[in-house]
Amino acid sequence: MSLFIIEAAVVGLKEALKLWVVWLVMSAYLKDMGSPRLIRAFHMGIALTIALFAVSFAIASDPYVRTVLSRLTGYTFFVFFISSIAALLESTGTRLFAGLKPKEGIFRPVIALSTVFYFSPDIIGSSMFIRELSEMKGAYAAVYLSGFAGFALPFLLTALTLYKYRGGRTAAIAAIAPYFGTAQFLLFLSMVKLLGGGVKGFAEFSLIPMVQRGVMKFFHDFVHQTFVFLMVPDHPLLATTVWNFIGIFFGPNIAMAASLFILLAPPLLFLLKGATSPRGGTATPQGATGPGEKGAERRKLMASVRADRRKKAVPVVGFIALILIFYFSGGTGEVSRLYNPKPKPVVEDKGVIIIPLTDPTMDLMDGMLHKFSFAAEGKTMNMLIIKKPDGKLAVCLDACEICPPEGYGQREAHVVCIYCMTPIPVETLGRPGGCNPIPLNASITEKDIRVDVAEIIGKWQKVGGAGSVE
Amino acid sequence: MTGRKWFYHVLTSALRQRKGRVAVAVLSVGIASTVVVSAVGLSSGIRRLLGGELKAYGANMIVSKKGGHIDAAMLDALKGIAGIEEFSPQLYSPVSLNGLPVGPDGQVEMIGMTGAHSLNVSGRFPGEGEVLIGADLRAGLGLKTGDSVKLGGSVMTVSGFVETGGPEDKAVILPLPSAQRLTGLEGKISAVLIRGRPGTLDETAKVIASVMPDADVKTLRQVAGAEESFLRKIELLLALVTVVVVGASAISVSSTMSATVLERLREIGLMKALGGTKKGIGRFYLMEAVIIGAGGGTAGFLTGFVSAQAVSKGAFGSYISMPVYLVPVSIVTGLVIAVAASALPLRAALIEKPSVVLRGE
Amino acid sequence: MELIEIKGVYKEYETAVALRGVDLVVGSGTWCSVVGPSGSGKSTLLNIIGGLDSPTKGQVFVDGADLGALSEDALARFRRERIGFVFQQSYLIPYLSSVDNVMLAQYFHSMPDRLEAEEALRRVGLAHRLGHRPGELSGGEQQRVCIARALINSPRLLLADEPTGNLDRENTRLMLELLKRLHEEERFTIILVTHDPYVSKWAQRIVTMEDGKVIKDEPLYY
Repeated sequence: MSLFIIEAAVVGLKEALKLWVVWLVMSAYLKDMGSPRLIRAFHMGIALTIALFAVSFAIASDPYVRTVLSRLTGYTFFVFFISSIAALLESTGTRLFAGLKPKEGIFRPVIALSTVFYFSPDIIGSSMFIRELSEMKGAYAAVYLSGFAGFALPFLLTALTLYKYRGGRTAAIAAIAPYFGTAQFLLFLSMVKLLGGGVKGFAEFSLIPMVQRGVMKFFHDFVHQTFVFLMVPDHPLLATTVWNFIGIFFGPNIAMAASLFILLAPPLLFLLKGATSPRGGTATPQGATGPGEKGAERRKLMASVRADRRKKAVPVVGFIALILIFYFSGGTGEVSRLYNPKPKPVVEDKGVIIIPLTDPTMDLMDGMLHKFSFAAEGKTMNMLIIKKPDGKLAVCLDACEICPPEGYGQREAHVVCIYCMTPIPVETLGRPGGCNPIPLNASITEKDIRVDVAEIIGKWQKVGGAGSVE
Repeated sequence: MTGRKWFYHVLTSALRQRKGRVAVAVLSVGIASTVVVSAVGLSSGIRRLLGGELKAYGANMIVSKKGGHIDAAMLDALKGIAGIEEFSPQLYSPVSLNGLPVGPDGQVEMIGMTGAHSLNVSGRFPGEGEVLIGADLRAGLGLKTGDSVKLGGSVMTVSGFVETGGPEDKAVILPLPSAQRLTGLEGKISAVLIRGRPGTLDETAKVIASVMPDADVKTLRQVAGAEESFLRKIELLLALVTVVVVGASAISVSSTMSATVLERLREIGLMKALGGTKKGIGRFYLMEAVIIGAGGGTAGFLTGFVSAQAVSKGAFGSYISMPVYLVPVSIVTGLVIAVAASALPLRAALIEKPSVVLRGE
Repeated sequence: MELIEIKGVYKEYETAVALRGVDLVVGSGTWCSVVGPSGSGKSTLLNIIGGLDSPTKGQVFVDGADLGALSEDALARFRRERIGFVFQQSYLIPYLSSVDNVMLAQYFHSMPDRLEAEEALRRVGLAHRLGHRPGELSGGEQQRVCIARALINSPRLLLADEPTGNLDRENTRLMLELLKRLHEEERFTIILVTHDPYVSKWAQRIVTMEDGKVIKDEPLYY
């Protein structure tokens, strides 16, 4: 239970930190733009978001909604990422929006709405998550409290320190401002999303796995459709070779490499372009102009242009470093932090699968996750069995209705869907729908568990993602 | 990027001009990082050798009897114990080899085993009338596969060699029944090496002790524990030496850097007159320190590596594998010493007013 | 406001008093000599004008900037953008070539530019000495490098402290001719401290100092 309290605090803290950090950089960025009205529009957006946040606590947590919100978070990341690329190209001279001159007045509502759009999926998802945590026995008030405490902490700290030293705030903003042009700012926003956008507590810290899986799915669908379209000939030898070839594209390694490429290519391109773009032009050409007014002034100008360009490259380099760090330590590591035992194969006995409660090698009542695999109709169907805190045994398929069946891992009091990283509290197992593992009707005797084979095959139809990855 | 390249051009010119001083500084830093690398490498490498003897068999428990032998019949009792995954009975006894004085009393250790398990054998495990020779003995006696050796009173053929870095290198290995016959200790064994299921060792040990009441049952921890405390003492000593050497090196580098800064006080005054800021000027000298530190650190890694291996081979008889992180550790040590040592004199010099410095002519 | 305005400047050390209440105004473009016996405080005055030293009392305005009010970094920036120095000792970095020495001044100002530095050295007649180290140059050539270095960032003010002190008569004349040519082309202000009457007569105005005070201040007419 104390784990839930900590999780709630961490989630609250994470959301508040996002708000706080974006506010700081936004102020630095807008300071150069000079318009106080834009800053006010931003504050209004924040106020709206916090209002939505408060309201969202009244909405019951629903796995479908959470999945949708999680997708929305992913989409906002991509929106800001793409616009940052557009801004990057713009800033290095590629004229994309030549001729587009938006009216001044349109910026304020755009900023307010974008702010809401940016923050609310995360915040609502997180509030739902906290609410779900709080529904655990006896943890109600404590969880909510710690969630709010985590949320309030950065603001309290800021109020105590920066505002006490007023100069501190302006100095901080002035120091940050030269590093963030429009492109850097948008990239920063998308990075904050990417690295802190998960709405599922501990199990999902960053969105990088989501990006990876999005790419994987995209490749899968694209390549599959292409080959179907091309109507691969029926020759058995050719078919096997072709399917093996396709298998390469489905492999996780290509998808991981592709997702890393997608994330890194634009910032790297920006750095490259920035390094080679023509020198800041002034009246006099480069070269032997001799000492004199023109010489020294020209050098000063060039030096300041260079310094500015170097400053603007710093956030980009930082993001690249962060992506790499998270990618190679967090992204795939999360899955390995889950306890995922290898399924033991079981066979049927007159249409029933019988699994003893204890045998020399295992004890189903030990509170750990147990998995069993059953082969039927050319597919491998996995089941999971785990003892719930109330003493009853949960018997389910190792798959849910929404995601491709990559199975579940266990983390303390949750089982986590490995595909979408949604944590399901063990206590709630047996409920159907959403990302819950599909429950099975099983008869539990003193010695064993009995499940009808027909039940397994029947329920497996419900598994998401068409039941198998080819 | 003429600015960056020119900066390094100036730096290298400055360093080239003071080759002697720079060499001394690099040497000091190198010595310090050598010691650091050796100390860390040794202590981590030796840790891995800990319990290596038992680990070579994949065992994590050992059953023996102080001052006596265990009846082989007891082995049956072990078969039923749940926590035991595998066990290997062994018989140890000194025998004379070839009638030659090889060991301290003219004898070598003989180990009787039931199989090669996870030993590093070149050739094959001996059968009836054959023997496996340890690597050190092979070198010492110039033996080849197929040679005949006289063991105790019998002649055996060499079937292969074994190298583990442990005591096996100086021993001969026979199949257990042959060993028992050779020593007249039929039906007896000196020890049983056991691989118990990890996580249940203590319970398994209790069960074994209850089944074999006369025997000593030790888990790897206990065997290694004695070595562990010894290792700790060594580590403390190493740490002490390291601290002293690093301190001495820092002082040496510091005095070199101070002398340098003093010589170049005029340069600093000039740069200030040219309008250089403390940061800009400091960058020059700090980068020199960085280059010295990195250079010394890299060289220190190489020498540290070599010296650690030398110590390990000399003291413990085998080479150790050194962790990769020692490379950055060495470089960082060099950098820290060089930069820290130059920071203080540099700061003092930068504070001086240019007119004071320039006037002192 | 004139280029240089000094009011009531005192400079005291623990053991001596170098300046006792100096007032001076120098207009832009003037070549001004400061003469006096040694110990009269002329070098001190020069250092204070250049921001290399600060007065114990008094105000110093150079090119509109109140030197006393500037932070150390601002002072450094002021120096590198508006002032060039030439000293009696050439103070060149011994392990760098002439070009590199000039580029050093560029480096602290903004960024080094080899072509510009080479052109500057050509202008002072050292086209054939670009790659030489100071040790390989004569006294006169060394001072010419210093002049190139002092002027590379187009300062408005050139401060020279006994620049010809180590040169023989011929080289002194050559150097002063060079300075005169550059002065006419670039129109910067020169304040040249010397104890050599021959050198002082090249200026447009002579300020005489003694015992830390200005005792005479007269223009020269050609």
